[in-house]
Amino acid sequence: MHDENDEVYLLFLEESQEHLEDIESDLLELEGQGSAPNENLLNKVFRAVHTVKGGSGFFGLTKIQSLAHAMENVLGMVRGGSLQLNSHIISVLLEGSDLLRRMVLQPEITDLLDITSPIESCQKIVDGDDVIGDAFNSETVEIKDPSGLVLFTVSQNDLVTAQEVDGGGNYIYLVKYDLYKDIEDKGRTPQQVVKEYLQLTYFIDSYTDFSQIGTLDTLDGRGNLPFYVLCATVMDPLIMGEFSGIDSCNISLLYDRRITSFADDVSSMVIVEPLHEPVLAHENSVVNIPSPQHTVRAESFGSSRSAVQTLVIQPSKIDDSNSDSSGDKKSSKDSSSSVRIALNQLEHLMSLAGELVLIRNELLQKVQKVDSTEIRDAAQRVDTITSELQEAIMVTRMQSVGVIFSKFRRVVRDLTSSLGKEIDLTIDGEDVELDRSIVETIGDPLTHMIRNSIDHGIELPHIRRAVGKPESGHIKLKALHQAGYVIISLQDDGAGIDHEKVGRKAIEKGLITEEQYNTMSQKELVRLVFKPGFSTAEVVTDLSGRGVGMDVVLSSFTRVGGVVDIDSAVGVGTQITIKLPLTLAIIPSLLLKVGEERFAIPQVNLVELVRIRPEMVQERLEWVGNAAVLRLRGKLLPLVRLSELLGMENRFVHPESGEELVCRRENIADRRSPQFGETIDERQLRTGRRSSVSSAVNIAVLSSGEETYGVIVDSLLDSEEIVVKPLGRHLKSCPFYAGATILGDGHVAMILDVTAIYEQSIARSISEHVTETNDSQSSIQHESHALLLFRNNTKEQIAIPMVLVTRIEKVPSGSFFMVGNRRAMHYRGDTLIVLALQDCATVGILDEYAFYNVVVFNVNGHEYGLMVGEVDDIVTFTGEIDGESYVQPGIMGTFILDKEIRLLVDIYRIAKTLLPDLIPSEVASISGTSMDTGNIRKILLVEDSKFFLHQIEGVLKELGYEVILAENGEEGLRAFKEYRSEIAMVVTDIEMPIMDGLSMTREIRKTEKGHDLPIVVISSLSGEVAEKEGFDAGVTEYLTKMDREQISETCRRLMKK
Amino acid sequence: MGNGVSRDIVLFSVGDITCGIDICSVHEIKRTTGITVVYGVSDDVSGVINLRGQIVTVLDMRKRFSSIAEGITGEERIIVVPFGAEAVGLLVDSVEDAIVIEQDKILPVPPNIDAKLGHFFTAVYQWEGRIISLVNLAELVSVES
Repeated sequence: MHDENDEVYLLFLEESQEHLEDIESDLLELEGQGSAPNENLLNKVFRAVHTVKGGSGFFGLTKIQSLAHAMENVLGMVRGGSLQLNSHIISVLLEGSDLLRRMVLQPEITDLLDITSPIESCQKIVDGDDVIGDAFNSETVEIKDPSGLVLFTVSQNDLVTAQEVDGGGNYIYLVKYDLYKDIEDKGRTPQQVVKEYLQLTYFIDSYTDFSQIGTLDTLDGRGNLPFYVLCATVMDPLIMGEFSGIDSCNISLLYDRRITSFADDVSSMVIVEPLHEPVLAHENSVVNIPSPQHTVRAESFGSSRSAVQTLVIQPSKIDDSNSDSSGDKKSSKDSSSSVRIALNQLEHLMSLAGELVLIRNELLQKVQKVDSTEIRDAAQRVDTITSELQEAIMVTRMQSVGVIFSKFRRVVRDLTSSLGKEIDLTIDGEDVELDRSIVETIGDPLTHMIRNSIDHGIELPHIRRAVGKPESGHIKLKALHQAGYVIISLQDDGAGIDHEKVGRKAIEKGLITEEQYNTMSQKELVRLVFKPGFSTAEVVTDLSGRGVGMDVVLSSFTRVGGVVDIDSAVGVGTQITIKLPLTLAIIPSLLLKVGEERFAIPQVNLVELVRIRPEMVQERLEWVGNAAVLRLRGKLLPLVRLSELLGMENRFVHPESGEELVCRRENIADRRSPQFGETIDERQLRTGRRSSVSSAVNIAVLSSGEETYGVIVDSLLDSEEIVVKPLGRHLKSCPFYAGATILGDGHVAMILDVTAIYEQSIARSISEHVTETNDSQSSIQHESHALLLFRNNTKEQIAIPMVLVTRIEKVPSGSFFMVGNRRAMHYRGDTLIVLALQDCATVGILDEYAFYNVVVFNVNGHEYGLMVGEVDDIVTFTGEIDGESYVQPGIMGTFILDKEIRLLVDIYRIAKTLLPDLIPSEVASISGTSMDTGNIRKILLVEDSKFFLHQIEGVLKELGYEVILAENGEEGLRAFKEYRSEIAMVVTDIEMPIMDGLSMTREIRKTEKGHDLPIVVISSLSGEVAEKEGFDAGVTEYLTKMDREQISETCRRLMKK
Repeated sequence: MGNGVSRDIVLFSVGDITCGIDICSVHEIKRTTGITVVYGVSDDVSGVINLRGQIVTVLDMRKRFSSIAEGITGEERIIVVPFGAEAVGLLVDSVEDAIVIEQDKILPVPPNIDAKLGHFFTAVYQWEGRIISLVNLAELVSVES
């Protein structure tokens, strides 16, 4: 009895869908809460089912109605406390909600669906043994109209519930509307009516009596279509009459709890007759209620009811008091706070807003010439509103990934039970927002990946037990913003992907050749699963092998500009990381200005803003070779001058026309060419390399995930939410930009790619060196270290790890004086002992300079200086460090950079060798504690680089510990298991072949002994994200490589415990 | 009109070359205000503009044709043309007129034309005593390697 295209009908279907989608996740959450379900949540589910039931009854969708009704009965009992939720009940309810959803999605197929089984299941639950008492629960009451037609069949329990819950009340009414007369003629829709009831009363059921519609003959355009609403409320008959707005003869008070109770006298039949004869409905709000004459079961109302009352009713008050007392405000708000809108309409709105911005700009320019404040004021308002409008429309496109994430709880639940596996799913970052179109695109591939994890990844419980894993597998799904990207990672602790097996299969399938196989790394082999036509499933299971392989997953992500990375270790698990680009995402950004141009930097990359006053510039900014560094809280921060990097100084932009005039153009790639070097030197001379710089310097300190650096800009502007727009193909070749955005004024600002800028500037020298070293070193992965390069004399090049350097002071040669037999200088109001490499190691004598650089470093809380010659550069070095040849006191190793041998200085050894009295032997300092705890002093050291292995081993041995060595996580784990009772601490690297440090940590943490063992990570992977990951894996401390001071301090502290 | 098929073209000039582009390829013609200069990219990209929310790359035709910029005359225009799925703006010295040309009066590109420019044109056309070079749009907007 409804028009398929009726707006109200469609709205009902859409709303029901939303309700049902929530039901699923809510049920799963309820299941997780076990025996103490959250009452609000339970009520929410109940209301949702209830609403669906109500609406479907109205539209004559009887199947939906009866199923919803059956479910409602179950939920009602749970809510009433007479039924305990268990997984069987949840399953039945889930099955029911699935069916409901299918019927709501495709009402036309409803007839084909069999709903008897879930209804029976519901009924069984209601009747079942697990019901706690209360025989009347299953008793039903038939509510009939005077002619005997059964309008509703309601369970007794329902009626009791209806009176007790929030929103319900003592009075139960049957209200009879005429669809035409009472609803349509009043310009209302039935949906509105139902909504009102849902908001203000406890709506039990509704029924449209189509049997009374009459035939074509009697119809003459208008029939008589009764629409019954059954509800419970606190409103007394007087208010009810006002609220419903219909003749009180059509309102029947079925029951007033204050007088009788259902439990007293259970009747299976209720005949309804009107409250009183048609009278009332005055235009004003004064209503007379005569005493009720016919009531349910002929009961008579109490005298108070029969008295004639006069009430002044203020509708708004009713509204307030009722919604407040019902506590139902939230749901009523929910139902009205969202509308559905077609995406292309949104797109259209967005482009219109864009156009509006342009016209606004034009208007603003023209208004400048008009001499009228009124017009200007109006233009100003247009300006503001346009910006707001544009922003508001852009925001509408965003959607949180929670929308798809929440579905996975169900996926996991269903699959685990059907496969006989046990899996915990952890979901993180559900509120991370992505562009709607991206969210929609990634749903399916993510589902597939999760199915894969469950199907192929997580082993069966008995297998897991056999290999020493907890029986229940763990799948971790998280989303986070990182460096301006949204990262979605899916991690499982399952069997992992056997790279060899993958490789062999790829050969078999002709995807790669035998030769290629031999040259491919483990990771490359694993990546083969993404090749079209590849499937590792030995048996195509019902779950994953649906003809969609990982190649489809990959291409789905790539289509929205995502990058997929896969990491897997056999026996340990698999991690798939999807890096989704900024594209289309709205990101909070900082706007900054260089020259005439504005740029945006994603706020996620921003660490802090530093403004250096003119008089402080000299002290805090330092030039090291070509590179500028900033002294920031005792650290040296490498700096990039944006104008220089982008070659902006050579361009001139006409301020009015925006036309660009090219004065002279230098290619960025020639940055290191002699001329360019000259221009830097010239500028340095001009601005005074160490002398006067007239203006303040603004620096944005940025983090690219692993590295922190500063960008020098002209000025820092506001923070703004920006929408990322993709760049055209002509700009793809330029690495500096992650995209562009349109600012409030319609102008375009480029979004800087913080990672790429680091790579192109500060780390630039690395890539040059790496290509060199890679020739000889094949593809062994090295860790990178920021090194300060300086000259001892014309022949010798020396390097110090940046992490150890506190400051660099440039001092004239005459500043040094002798204290006893030691060289010293004045430094910050104190005396600083200055050492020289030649005093300790067999190296060439330091050349005579007019100025020396003194590298200030810290040992045991005291500062010392190392005197060096000219500082050349700061580089990030990723090559091999030779820790064996040419090692002597003060030199920890050598490496080759720019085809020259560099000596890596061991400043601690220098200090220790030269100042034995000032720097106590570390062994001595811990000897006391060593006696105290006595017995266990072994440390397991896991490190793949031989050089660092020996370095750290040295540190630990000096501290007096015995060291067990391992070169990768797997060896480490083996050693741990072998010596577990003797090991007091683990020190490990992260990046290692076969098994990395974090996986090893996780494994150790799972063992009994390893549960509270201190595990220290020493890694060059710095940065918040890396550290967080470390701590998540169970790491106790996270140290940066080569900081010997820190290593020994940490070890001492942890071993004391 | 002659007996052949006729086409509408838009005339524009870059330096001393008058070019013709098929009117069907012209999305719109804009003034040069609001160009955001993009630094650190290929020389012939003058910048980007906001075209109703879409970021459009503007290619400097004077750079493509290696002609010398005259300075600002105020006549400069951006011709927005399709480039695959995106749109690209051509920065030209001026846009003159739209004319109808007859297919049978179109002549091949003379062989003595500057070799560096030859590939930008598909044909030439004589119109009111002027030589109009019909552009090869695909070449004109191609991404330089």
